[in-house]
Amino acid sequence: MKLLRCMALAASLGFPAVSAARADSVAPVTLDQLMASLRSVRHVEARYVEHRHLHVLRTPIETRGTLSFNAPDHLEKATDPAADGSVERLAIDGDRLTIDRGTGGAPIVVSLHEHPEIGVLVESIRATLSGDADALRRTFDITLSGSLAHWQLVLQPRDAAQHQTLQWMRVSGYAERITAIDTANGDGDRSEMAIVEQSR
Amino acid sequence: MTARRIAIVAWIAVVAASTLIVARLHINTDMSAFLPRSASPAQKILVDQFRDGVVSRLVLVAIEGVPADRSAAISKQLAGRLRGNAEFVAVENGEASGFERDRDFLWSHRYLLSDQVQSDRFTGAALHTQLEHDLSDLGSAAGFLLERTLAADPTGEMLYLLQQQQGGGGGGPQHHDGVWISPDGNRALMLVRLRAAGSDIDSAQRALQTIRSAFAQVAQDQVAQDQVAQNQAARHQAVQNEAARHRAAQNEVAQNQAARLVMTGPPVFAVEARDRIKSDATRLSVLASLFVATFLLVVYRSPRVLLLAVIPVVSGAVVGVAAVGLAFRTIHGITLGFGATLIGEAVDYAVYLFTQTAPDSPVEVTIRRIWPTLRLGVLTSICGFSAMLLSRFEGFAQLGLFTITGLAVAVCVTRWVLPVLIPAGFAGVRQSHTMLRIAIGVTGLHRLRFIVAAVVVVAAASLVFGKGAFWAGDLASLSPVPPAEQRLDQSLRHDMQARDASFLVVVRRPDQESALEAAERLTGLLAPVIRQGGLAGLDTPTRYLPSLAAQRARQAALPDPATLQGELDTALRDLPFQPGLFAPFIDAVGKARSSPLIDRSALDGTSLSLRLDSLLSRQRDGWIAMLSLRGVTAPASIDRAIAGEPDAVLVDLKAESNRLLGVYLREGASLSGLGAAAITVLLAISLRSLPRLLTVIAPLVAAVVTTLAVLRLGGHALSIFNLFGMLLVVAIGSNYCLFFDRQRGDPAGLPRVMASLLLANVCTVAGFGVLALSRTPVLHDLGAPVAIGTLLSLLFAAIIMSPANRSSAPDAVAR
Repeated sequence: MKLLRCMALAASLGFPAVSAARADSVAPVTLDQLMASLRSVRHVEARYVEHRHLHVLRTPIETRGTLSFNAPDHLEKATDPAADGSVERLAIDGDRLTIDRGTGGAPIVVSLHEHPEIGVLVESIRATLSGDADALRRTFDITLSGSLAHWQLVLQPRDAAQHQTLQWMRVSGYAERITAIDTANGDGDRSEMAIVEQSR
Repeated sequence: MTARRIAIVAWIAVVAASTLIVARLHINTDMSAFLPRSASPAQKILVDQFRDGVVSRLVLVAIEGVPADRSAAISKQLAGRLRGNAEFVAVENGEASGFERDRDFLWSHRYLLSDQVQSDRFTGAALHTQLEHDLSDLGSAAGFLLERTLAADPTGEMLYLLQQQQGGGGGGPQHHDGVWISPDGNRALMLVRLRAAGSDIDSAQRALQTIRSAFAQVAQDQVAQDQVAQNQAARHQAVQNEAARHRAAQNEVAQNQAARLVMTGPPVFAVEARDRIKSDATRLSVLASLFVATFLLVVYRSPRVLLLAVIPVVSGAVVGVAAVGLAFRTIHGITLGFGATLIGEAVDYAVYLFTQTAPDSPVEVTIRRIWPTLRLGVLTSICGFSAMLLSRFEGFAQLGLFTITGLAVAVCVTRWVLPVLIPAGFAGVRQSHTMLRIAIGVTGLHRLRFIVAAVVVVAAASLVFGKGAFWAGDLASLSPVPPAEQRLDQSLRHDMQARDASFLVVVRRPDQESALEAAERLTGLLAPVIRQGGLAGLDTPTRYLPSLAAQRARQAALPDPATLQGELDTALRDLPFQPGLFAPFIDAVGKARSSPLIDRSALDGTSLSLRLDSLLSRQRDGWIAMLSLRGVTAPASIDRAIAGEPDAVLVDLKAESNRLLGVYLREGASLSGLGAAAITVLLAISLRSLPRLLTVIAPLVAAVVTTLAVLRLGGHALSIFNLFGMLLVVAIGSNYCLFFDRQRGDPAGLPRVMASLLLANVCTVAGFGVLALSRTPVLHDLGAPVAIGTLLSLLFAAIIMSPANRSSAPDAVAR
């Protein structure tokens, strides 16, 4: 985990966009600034490591894999091949969530409108990635801290009923890059995901 | 009493009695009379389902013409208004409310519904394997689906049931704002199931009206809301000038687009068909009557003659309707629509009488002279139409009886009643000289014989070598639904992403339980076929309502709480689950062991009940269970597999409906052939001469071949109704040929005969020509060929049968 953060930092130092923005880097960032900067990303691929602490289990579950995003609303998450070579793919396409376990079975297709409880989780990620400030404001109480050089966005669903699925989500990053997404839900489950951008 | 008096008294008595019957007659517009009545049990099930089954009560509703956000909002409000109305059994528009009930049902009955529940499922070893599996699922992105239910359902019965639902019903339509929407976003979709049976058109009409007025109110409310929003925007305008003006402009745009309601489905078709038939029958009869009346008035220039000409027609129509009423108890609207064609034919008899009466001879003489020909003509027509009596389409049988009776009565009235009614001084009608000139011109057409021969050869060649299917290849061509409505229906079904089941396994049993048990055995028999890949999957009624026996067996397979706790403790050794996590599981299994069994009423209010009803239905003499198959690649191995269950039938809907069509085409062809043969035999007996017979038949054959070629122009496929139309061409056309034949020895009288035939033909073409204007395919497909064919019959008869020597023609005009 630490290693990944170091790699991220190293990658960012050589990135021209960040050096150009250095003059603003110490000023507190506004949501509109951050969203505008995230909106500039049309396509991105990244590696991730995720640790999930589930309340039903005594030990955390670790998964690794690749994330890819295409503006405005296509997100795909693929795990590294398991021992049996299977790759699990999760895709969000607008209103539809598809999970293909890669084990030969039929993919699970969930319409987010039929499962609003999943919708809030997906919406937080989708709206952030596509820089949709209005959508975020509609659904979440937003706490933004730090400068554009290093920011932290905390989202809490306005509707307390949705805390069961998502109590809060913390997205961290610098400039238009997201380096971590941590979440917690009402059951006491937590997830920590570290992200390193590969290409765009 | 003289013979004349007897005739008049008999006529009045019969017409009066018929009028009494007609007055009490129920007019039926159920289009199923024109649907095939089928023979094999599988086909019977098919047609019954179509007629009165669940499918026949489904209405597909679409809201279009406005942006998706708006149509979705209207869909929600409309559904809200319709739900709870007694006219509707179910109103689905994709809103989650229905699915919550589905999930509740599946969740609370999961141990009775899941066919995975067997005694070896709850042993320590089986549970251990299952829990390891759960652990790997929890690590998956889909873990969230499992996590909430894990504690109460570690064996994953609920997920299994949900997956089966998804597999059985297809992906379903897309959603927008929580309701179903077409893939292009242009239509919000809704599925409404009526309480009334498919054959109850009055109730269907009321229910559809309820939907329409509810929609109108919702749309109105929307406009009102827009105005409020607009006013608010205007108030804001002072503060936020630009943005508000923009928003107000947008609102205006939205308002100007009015939402439209579109409905399709069997009840809609039935109601519209009835309206169409009613308006067609009236409109067409009036149109044909007006045309014929005007025409006769122009030709004869005498209202009295017109009135006299109408008497045989009206008498024939009234007695014909009464005869159908006596034989079938009801009369179909379509049969009444045929009143128009009867006018076209029956008016001919009076026309022959009047036109062929020379100014210097009384009517009595003329009628005696032409009676043998008239009688033979009517007999041939009756021969032709009587083939329709044998049809398995009840509608056609009615048409046959109506026409036969009508014609027989009309000709009798012409023979015995008209001469009595005509005043003594009446001596023929003033001839129209134009008419006679045209007639003389036509009789001179004999030089065109070679052209006729050429035309027939070309027509025959185009029939033999023509491109495109000869016969319309699917059952839709028999459908009483106009093509435009069929297209709309298909487009909406496509939007709903309804997967059309094309293979069914059907089994009939005396009661519901044994039907369900048979379905369960069939599911078991088909499992190996699924494993071998001959079949992708199936949907069975027992997925929603297992047989009582299966439910009891599942209850018996559930262990008691103490045993289950012991097995679970073994299973949980060295797995990282929190201690005590599975208490809800032990509890749920314990409850399921003694819970009441599921019956049909447990499904009330769920959308699953719709699926159950489409797969399990009550018939007059028992219960039908259907397994809907998908992804069939090896029908033969399915056939072998289901042989283990007595009387189970594999129905390939597409093949079956095509086979059904084949049966009806063959029936149509053989009946038409039979009719044509009967006409030929009758003609042979009366004419007693092979050359005369051939001369009479030649124009008819030429006309039929040419008409078929015309209908086939542009690769147009022929329908069975076209075929019956050909029979009518022969029946009517033979009358023309017989009159030509009668004039062999009297070429001088030919122009007068020709004039009467021309008049008669104009009336026939008018009668059937207006049918071609009908929007009901049955009427349209009959009308056009008869109009074309009879015209050609007359033309060809004139060309082939008129004598080469026309020297006496001017003489005829002088008479």
